[in-house]
Amino acid sequence: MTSTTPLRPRRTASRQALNITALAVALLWIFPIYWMVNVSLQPNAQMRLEGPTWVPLDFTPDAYLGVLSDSSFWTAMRMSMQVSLLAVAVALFSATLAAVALSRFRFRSRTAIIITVLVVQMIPAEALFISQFRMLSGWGLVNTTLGLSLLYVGTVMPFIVWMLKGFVDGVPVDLEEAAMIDGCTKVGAFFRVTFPLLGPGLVATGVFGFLVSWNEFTLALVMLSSGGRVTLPVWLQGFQEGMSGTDWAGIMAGSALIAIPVLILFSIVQRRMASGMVSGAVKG
Amino acid sequence: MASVTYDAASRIYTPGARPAINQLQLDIADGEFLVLVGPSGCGKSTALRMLAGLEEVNEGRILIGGEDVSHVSPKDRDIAMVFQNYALYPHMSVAENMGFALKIAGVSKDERAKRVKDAAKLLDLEPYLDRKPKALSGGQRQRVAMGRAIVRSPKVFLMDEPLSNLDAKLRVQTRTQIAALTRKLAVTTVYVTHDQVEAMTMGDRVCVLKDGVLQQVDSPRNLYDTPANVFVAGFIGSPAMNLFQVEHDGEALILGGERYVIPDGSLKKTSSNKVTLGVRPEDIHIDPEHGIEMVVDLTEELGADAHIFGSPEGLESFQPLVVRVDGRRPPLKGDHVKVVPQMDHIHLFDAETGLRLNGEIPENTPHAQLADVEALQDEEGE
Amino acid sequence: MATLTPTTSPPGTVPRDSSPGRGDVSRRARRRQAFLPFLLLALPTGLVMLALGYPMARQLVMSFQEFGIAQQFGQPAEWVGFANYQAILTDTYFWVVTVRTLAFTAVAAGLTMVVGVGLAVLMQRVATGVRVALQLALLFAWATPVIAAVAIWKLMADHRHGVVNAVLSGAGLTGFDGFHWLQAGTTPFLIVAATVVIWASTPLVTLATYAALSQVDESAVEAAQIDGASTPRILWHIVLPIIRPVLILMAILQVIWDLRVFAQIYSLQQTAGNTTDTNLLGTYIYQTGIAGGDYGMASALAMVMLLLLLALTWRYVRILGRQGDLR
Repeated sequence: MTSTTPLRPRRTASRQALNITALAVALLWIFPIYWMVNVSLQPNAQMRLEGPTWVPLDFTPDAYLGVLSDSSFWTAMRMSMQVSLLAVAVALFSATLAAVALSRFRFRSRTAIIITVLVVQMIPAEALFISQFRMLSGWGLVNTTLGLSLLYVGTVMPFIVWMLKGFVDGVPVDLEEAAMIDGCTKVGAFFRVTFPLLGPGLVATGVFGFLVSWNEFTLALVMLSSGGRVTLPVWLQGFQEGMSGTDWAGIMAGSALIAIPVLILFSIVQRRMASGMVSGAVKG
Repeated sequence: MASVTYDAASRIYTPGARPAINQLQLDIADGEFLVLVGPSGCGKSTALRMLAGLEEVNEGRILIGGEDVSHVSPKDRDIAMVFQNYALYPHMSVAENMGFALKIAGVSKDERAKRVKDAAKLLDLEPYLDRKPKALSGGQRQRVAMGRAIVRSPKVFLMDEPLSNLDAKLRVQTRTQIAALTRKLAVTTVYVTHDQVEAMTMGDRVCVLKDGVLQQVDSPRNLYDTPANVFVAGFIGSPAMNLFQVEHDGEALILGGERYVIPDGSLKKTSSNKVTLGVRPEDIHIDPEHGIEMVVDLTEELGADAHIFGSPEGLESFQPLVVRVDGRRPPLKGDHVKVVPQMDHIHLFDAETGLRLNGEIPENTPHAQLADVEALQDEEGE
Repeated sequence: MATLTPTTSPPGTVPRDSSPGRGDVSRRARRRQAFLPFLLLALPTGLVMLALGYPMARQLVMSFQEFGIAQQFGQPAEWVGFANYQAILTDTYFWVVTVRTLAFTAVAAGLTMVVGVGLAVLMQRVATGVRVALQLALLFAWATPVIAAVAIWKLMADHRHGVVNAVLSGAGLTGFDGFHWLQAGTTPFLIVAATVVIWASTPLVTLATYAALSQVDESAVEAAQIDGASTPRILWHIVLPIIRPVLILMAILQVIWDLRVFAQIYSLQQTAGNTTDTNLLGTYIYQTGIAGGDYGMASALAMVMLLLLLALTWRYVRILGRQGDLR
């Protein structure tokens, strides 16, 4: 949109200024992550020196080895995996049903349901965890994978439905009609034509749900309060409290080990995810 | 190959409201190319989708090859359809797109490959068989959509404005190709368009719809020569037919103070003292001696001929009068001319019912109003 | 139908499949058709009702009850009417926490929106390489798990080993040498918390706004240029109004996330030690309920927070409902 503005020379100069500003912001934003990696690769003694060490010259993987040899880390990893995968599988399956219903059918109360989806995704877990805890403890599901997964399903479902509906809307109905004329049943047309086209959207949505569950702290803290089995964020919090702030390298290595898989997953699907999240709102 | 019959078929979205298709009665012969045409919202696509099984038939029946298919699902109707935006499966290659229906039908791989190849040859698509639709031009996509229909050798081809996404030049080319192809294959074809040039040039017969009601179905020639009511008269032809309210005395029209005797007695068929007179632009002539006086407001030069526009004194119409004249010496803006309709080519319609009064009169024609024609022109203006 | 866009079918013409046969059979099939969407919605709705709806109802009930330690061990809960609410609303500490939370939300959400939208606009105007770098940096911040993010910022703001103090005192502000951000009172604590929140939530705003900006029709901008509007005016009068639904959605999300903020505050509090001066509503509810065992009171507090959320966002949710893709 700037290409049609006249005044070229002035523009080149101001464009350089914008480029430099943007780069500075990028560095500022990435710095904490760099710092995490930097500190995680330094021996702890380095921290006690005067002034910060900007580059990990005394490179050591000790902190990582320490975390990786800690059995509680692996227990938490297993717990996080179980809870997140279960929550995503259930949420993705049922949200697909809902998205198809809302996108492909016109029925009474459809608009009301869509508005409800919008409103429900605004209810914060922080306003509900008291009674959610009471509910799970009533059913003996406190400290269990199943109980926490159920809550995560409820938390991520509205957003996932919203995203998926956008993706289903993006597949023209004509294609399903063409497939029906080509001899498919309605269900067959969905699975042979719409479903494959939905693939990338499903992956993006699934990753989103996985990340929300993987990163979630509040519900995990409350629902896994008394058991030995915790998810990674709760484990990291406990690790910090236990170390009382001396093993910075270890904490940073733990943080990195939790964050890195997420960062990789995230970078792969981010484009679709961002567009999926706003698609509903932009179209309006 | 099969005949198609709409037997009083209706599509009603909301009970009580005007049906999208109202009691459509239409017989399409085996191998015939029938065009459904009408302004937007007339229900032509709905009629086609009912035949495809994509819309319910709420009342009446639809028959393909004499068999009632009103409640048969699309997959069991043995039809092929070309969609307006082609609806090519984006995740399949051209060959897979064309072979999909055969695959669903359980045709063997070799047979499939052979038939896809034959169709591709017919449509000059052979070099593109491995490409995805995304990598094709608009015209190529259109041909793939055609190919997908041809490969199946279905009983009926359905085409829903298949040319509307092509540019003007390609549209004319493809128009000819489709007409030739379907005649060669001799498959019954139902073709929906809003473009009357397509309708007139392609169809064996053309069916004009308005508000879900069939107005007239006939050969292009007859549709042009003997429109059944004012709506068809105003819809078919470009520039549109001149239509005015004219007084009469039972024997003659009174035009610009002169009497024009209508000898066949058609003026006696109406009780009103006015009729709607319709004259095509090519059926009006400039006369040096007598006729209706008119000042030329605009001259449109088209080369071989020209159209002049003006508002003659004493003629009631919602549109300017259009006259086709010789392109070499057209009157210019501001000129005074006298124009005379060629009386053996005029069309007379009842002022109230809009039904045809002179010449051969088609049966079972619904009423129409001049206002409907006026609405048509507003729409074109958009 | 000439006016239809290529990718849509005529309105209301979602295909209906009907089974072979006539009369009764087809009518039955049609009734099954009408039922199908509700069948599809049953499982997702059921799960949400179970995970959110039922607790919500229970919470409402509990907020009118005396529900403490004794009740957890089986004593029947006693109805106390509005006593919990009354106790909350007459408690000065509640008001301190509420005002603190509102101020925190206003600052954090406001800054997030301003910085986020600003970066999106900036991103549109820079070279591709720079844009990708910025996008990547933002993505990483967005994806970092909250607790890891808090740990990093804790380290960076550490009074002895923190890089923040090192840089500040290196720049001549010697007052920050050894400054204990988390224990120096409410404001420094909340500055650290707000920094973590803004750092982590700006990326979504930027990336969503950028996605919306890149979908804005060029011709609208060009038309405004021809009409003689300057770049800032085009931005303000043409571009931002076009993407308003996205901006509203993002603003609502920010308000919700910041008002209810818990994990960041909780984790920082564990290091700071002092909770009274640093509580926001989220941690206050946690302390009252889970730690203090007074579920009745905590439920009432949660309901108050929910009402506060509704009051703050309702108008915009309605605008969104009217403008959004609800067809």
